[in-house]
Amino acid sequence: MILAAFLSYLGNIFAMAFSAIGVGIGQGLAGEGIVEGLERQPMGGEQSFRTFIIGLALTESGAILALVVVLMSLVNLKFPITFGCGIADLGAGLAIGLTAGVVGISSSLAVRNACLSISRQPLFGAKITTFMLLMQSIIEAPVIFAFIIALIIKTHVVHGFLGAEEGVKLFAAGIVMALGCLGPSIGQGIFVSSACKSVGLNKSAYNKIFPFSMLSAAVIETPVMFAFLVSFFLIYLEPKSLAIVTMVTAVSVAIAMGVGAIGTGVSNGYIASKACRVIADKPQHYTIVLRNSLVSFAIVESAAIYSFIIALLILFR
Amino acid sequence: MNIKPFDHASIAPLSKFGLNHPFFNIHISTLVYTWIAMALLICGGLIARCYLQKKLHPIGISLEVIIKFFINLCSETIGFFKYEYFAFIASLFLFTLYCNMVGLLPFIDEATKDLNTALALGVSSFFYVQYQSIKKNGLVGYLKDYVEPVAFLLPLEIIGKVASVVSMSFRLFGNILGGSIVYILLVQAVSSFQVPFLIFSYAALCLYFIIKKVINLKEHKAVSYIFFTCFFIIFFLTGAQIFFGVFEGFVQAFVITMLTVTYLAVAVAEPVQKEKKTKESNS
Repeated sequence: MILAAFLSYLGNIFAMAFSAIGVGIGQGLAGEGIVEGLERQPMGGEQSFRTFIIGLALTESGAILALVVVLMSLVNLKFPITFGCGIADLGAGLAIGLTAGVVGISSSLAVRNACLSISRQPLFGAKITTFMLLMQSIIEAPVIFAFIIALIIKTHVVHGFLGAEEGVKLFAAGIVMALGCLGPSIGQGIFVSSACKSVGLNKSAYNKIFPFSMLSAAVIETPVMFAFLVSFFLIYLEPKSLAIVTMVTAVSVAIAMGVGAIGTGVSNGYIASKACRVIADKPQHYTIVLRNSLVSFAIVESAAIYSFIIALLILFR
Repeated sequence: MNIKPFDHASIAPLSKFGLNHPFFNIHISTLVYTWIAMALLICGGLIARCYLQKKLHPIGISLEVIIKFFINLCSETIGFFKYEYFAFIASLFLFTLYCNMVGLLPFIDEATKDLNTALALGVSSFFYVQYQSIKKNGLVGYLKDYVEPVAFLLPLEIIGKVASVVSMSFRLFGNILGGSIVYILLVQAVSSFQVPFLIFSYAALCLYFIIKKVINLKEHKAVSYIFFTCFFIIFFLTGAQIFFGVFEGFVQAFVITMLTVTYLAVAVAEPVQKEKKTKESNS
């Protein structure tokens, strides 16, 4: 009983604390970037300030979504809490909190590097701002997915007293979202900071960097999509013959998919960041860079796809 | 709500002959959606044909730009241009794109949401690449490729070939299914009705404008609230639809095409002649 209440509160605390840490660090980095840009070239100050304000508003959306989830949970909290409700709350909190934290850092890295780029190319500022906003809206997608999952978990918790079996299932659904978004979001941060920097390095390569960035940002986010699917199937998983079997299935699927997505996301981010730099340096080699990086994405990502297949096999056996 | 990714409405036409295995079932909804995508593709082709005959028409020029993009893709990646490759690659891209985007129409789902369609695309691209490789190098040269560096890596090579097909198809399947589920969830969050809410909102907006134009209605609070709600829903859902339907569908179609082109380029490359050329240049 005390354990269940503790777990429930722990979930809410994690949701708020992790997202606050991420967004806080990220906004600090972005602020450092704009001041550094001013030191380099005061001429682009106005444009970079505009970019900074719009970008930080988007960055903060993760923390706001976490706040919404926590408020919903606190308003609907009724004692006594069963163990299932508590652990489901923990899962939802981890899902939205971890994701919002990591996405907050990576999304404000984009703002920071865009400000630095504007200070390098003040007359090209409007296009850099548009580019940064588009990239940020793609980066924010994991937060939206995690928010959807957290909301579904919370509605299940509100509707009644959950048994331990249901609770562990929902906890696993939250965990797979948290772990699955971790790697791709870090990768997006590495990639986007390099992409925004390369636009500033060579503005004539903008027409080539722009489609490449959209493509690779979408490809890097593939594991997030898989994690979302697995988490969705976990929530609506039909109970097996024994309660313990359902619990073990749910937790093992969560570990398989969540951990499998981490390395893939990070390494795809490294590939894409280097490719962006090369395109900015040598725009004439665009085709071969695109081909090589796409094939590397595909080969790296097959690891996440294998874990996705294994997760589906365990789920629908 | 209960979405089962592997259970589709299916019929068993061969059950009279005693073939009751699920392998022989036909997923009737997927079949119909694929037919619709194909019909759209044929209609688009016929319309494009009309415009290509007119000189300097904007639609004709844009079509030429698209075709030139594919020609460049083939010739730059493979190294030389061959009409056979171009035809296969362009049709693979267009078919995948239309199958991904057919879900934008009301009452219709994406055809690639079914694993069978995605697997069929992956397998057909794989077999096409193997066929071209055999045609280029001969059967002996093709088989030699498997034991080329070290002979005991043969099972690993075969597993790698199968894995490439699996990863290609599952990437398409997972992305499209995930996008469609997110969209369904968003629609359900907006409304509990089963009717397509987007069409309803569009109809409400049109009605609002017509009423405003015809009767010259004074600004009433309730009416403007309805207007803003409809506008917000349309903005939100259309944005989601554009992201998951158009953008994600385009990216996945491009990725599967690009992978096929690259595998094809590796399969039909001419390593022997290159070595000869480098030797000649050295001497």
